[in-house]
Amino acid sequence: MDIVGANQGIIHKVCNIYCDDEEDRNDLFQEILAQLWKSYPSFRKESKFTTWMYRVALNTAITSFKKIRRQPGFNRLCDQNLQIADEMSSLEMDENIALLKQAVSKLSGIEKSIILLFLENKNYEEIAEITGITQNYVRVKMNRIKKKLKLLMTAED
Amino acid sequence: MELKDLKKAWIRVSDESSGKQQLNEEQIKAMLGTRTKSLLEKIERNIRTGFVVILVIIAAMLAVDYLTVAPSGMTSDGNKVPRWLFFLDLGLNLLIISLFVTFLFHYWKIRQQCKGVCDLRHTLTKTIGILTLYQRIFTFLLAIILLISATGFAAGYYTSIHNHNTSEGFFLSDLLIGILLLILISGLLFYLIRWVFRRVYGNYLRGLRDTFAELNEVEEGDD
Repeated sequence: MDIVGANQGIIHKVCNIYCDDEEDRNDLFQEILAQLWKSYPSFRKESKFTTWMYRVALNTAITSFKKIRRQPGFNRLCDQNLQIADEMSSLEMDENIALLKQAVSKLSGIEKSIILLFLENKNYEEIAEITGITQNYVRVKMNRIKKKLKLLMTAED
Repeated sequence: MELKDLKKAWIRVSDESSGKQQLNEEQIKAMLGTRTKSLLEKIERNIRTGFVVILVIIAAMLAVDYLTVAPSGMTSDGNKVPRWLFFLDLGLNLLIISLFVTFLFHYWKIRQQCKGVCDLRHTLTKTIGILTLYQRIFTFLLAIILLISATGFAAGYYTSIHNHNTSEGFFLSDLLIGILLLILISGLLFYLIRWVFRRVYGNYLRGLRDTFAELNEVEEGDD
């Protein structure tokens, strides 16, 4: 419990990138927490705890039933998405971050997980370990995401 | 602004934001205590409950058959129950049990594919596999129940005609109405339940399959 509590920022970040409103975020947070709790005995310490935690959190977010039920399809942008009316707004995000968040919200579930890990300073090796795809294709996917984000951000601008 | 600059800004913003959302140990414990079951946990629970309910129903039906009808071999109106009806009944019950056993075997095999915390690919394979299997057993079970109704109707009708020696005209009109009603009710029931299932799990399953396809497209890409 202590170790999860100490690293709960990871869960919040995953929830923030995958969920648009408070209720969804809380539901997902709870689900991830439960998965971590259930899976902890199988954590073999072969990888870093945070890597394992990211893996559980992202797997849960991508396969989350409730979220998809509310938002059919993974790519759909919620109308209320990342409205600057929640906690984030109080941080006075600069315009570029708001644009980035807006663009990220339009990415697919997998793309979101890769960009989140990239933005969290994870290298390709770690991203590959967490997502289970090869490093080479993390690189390929990352290039595609960068192009996509640039396009989206230009369009939003 | 370049992506590396955005990265720095992102870390600052997301760290501040998640810092604000921090929960203490008590709040985490309370959250764990009130959590609802996940989809796969619910499916497992449904399977267990369904299996027990069906076994109880089958056992009760067998008990009624063998304790009340079988000793004398006569129905309540004093007519003899044909032997093939018992075998038909037994066969259908065995079909349901073997369906569940097959399902449990495949379910176990899917679960064995990866234990503990799997990577995304295995998690998706496992979830899609379990959900597809669940959908199949659901459809098969429904088909078997409809088959039971159909055979029950046919058997009842046959023995009634056989024992009461009714005229041919009465037999044909009744039989036609009975068959039409049976087809109508069975068809409606089948499509209604299938529609409900698709409505509840359809989008979810489609979403998972799309994600899995995207994952494969990444692996097969040649950029």
